[in-house]
Amino acid sequence: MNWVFEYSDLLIKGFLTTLELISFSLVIGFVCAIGVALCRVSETRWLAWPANAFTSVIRGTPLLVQIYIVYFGLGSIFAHMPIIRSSFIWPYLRDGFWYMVFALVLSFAAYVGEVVRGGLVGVPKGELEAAKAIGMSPYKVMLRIRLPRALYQVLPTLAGESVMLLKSTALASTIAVVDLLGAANEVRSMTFEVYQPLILVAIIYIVLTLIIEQFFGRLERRIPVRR
Amino acid sequence: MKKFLVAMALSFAAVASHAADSLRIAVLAEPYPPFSQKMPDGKWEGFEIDLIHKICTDMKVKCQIVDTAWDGIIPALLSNKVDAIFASMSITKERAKKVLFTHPYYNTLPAVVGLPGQDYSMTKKALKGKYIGVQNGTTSAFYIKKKVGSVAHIRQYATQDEINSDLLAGRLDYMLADNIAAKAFADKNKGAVQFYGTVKYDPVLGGGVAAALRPNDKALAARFNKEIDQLVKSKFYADLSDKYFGTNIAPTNN
Repeated sequence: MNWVFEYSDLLIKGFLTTLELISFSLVIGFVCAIGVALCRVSETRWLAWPANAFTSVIRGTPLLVQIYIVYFGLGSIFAHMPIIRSSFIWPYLRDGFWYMVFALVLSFAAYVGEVVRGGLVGVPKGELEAAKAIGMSPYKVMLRIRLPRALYQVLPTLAGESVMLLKSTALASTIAVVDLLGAANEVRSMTFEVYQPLILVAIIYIVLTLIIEQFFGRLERRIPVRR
Repeated sequence: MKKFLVAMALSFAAVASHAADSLRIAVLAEPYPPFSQKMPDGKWEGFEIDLIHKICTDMKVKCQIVDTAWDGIIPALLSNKVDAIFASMSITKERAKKVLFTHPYYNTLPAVVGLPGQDYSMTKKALKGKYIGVQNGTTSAFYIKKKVGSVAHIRQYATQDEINSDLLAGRLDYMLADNIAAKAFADKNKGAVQFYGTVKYDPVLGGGVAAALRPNDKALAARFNKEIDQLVKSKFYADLSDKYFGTNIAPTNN
């Protein structure tokens, strides 16, 4: 187990990268997911249809393929544009990190968007009619009644999706982003310890999963919902 | 039930003994031209592949090529999924703790390929802040980390293939890889990348490329060594090396 101490810097850096990946994509992805869900339930067809197509495409293709398309496809288009290459954002765009965040956001937005849509549809009609009856505008009904009710309802599913997102971050090492798994793989290649680094990685992922579940569990308990 | 178990055990034993006269040789699953690559028709081609065939014919063993990903290649050997590794693996102290190396069958230095027109030298000053791609767990990776790891951005990839495409995409400034593979890549992409030459020898680069066996396969190692020692001095080897590289890459002090 000497390798843990010998390569602790590398492993901690990888761990932090995994945390960054999950937090960025969770927050941005969640906001996008609400947008997707609102478009999905919208009665305006030019909003509903693209959102529908987006969800189908993202949910219907493997995440790894999406990551490759974003990183090798989009990434090499950027690389061939002198404006971007000479600009200050190039140092960010040459790195795999933001491509990974982008791919994860897309994926999370599609999956959670669908979940939130289910929640929106599931809000009892009576409540919406009551809100309308006391004079709320459609916008206010959505913001104050329908969306909050939907989000409460989907919280347990959201916890599950967040855990899935955490596990998806492990794909980052396929595009040379040194996340927790990437760091472990580096350690494995240097020390030829085949299994131990992987077991350490698995344990850390389990702990992170438990933390995420705890977080959502608390959130659920704090929200007063009469079922 | 007992009879059945005995029969099972016997059939397993038969399989095991059958496996002894044929060898499973691990080569890189990802293309590593001109050493080994799978052609579109599924056939294997390259310098290493030709060497494997020659060695197996001379040793009168049946060899089966098993493509294995680089990062899983030593585990595959140790968990008995293959019997020998022929995958451009340099002899290093760290690796020698896990596997038994044969005598080297070729020896080259790593070389640097990069975007054209850069002011290159293997110094901390010239490579400060540069993005350099290397393959995980290779002697090139050990070398670059030792030389400029503290000042340059070292990007580690699972396969050489990905490094090449990221260099062409302009995401990397340089990459470090085995001279022959690097030269082949640079020649194929003239204009887009520039060949900056080989690096100076450093102990971290190890002692040539050899086949790797399980530590207890000493008898097999002796057979391989005898064959390899003869082979690298032979005209066959010189011709083959010349055909692929235009020079003889046989290890010199054998």
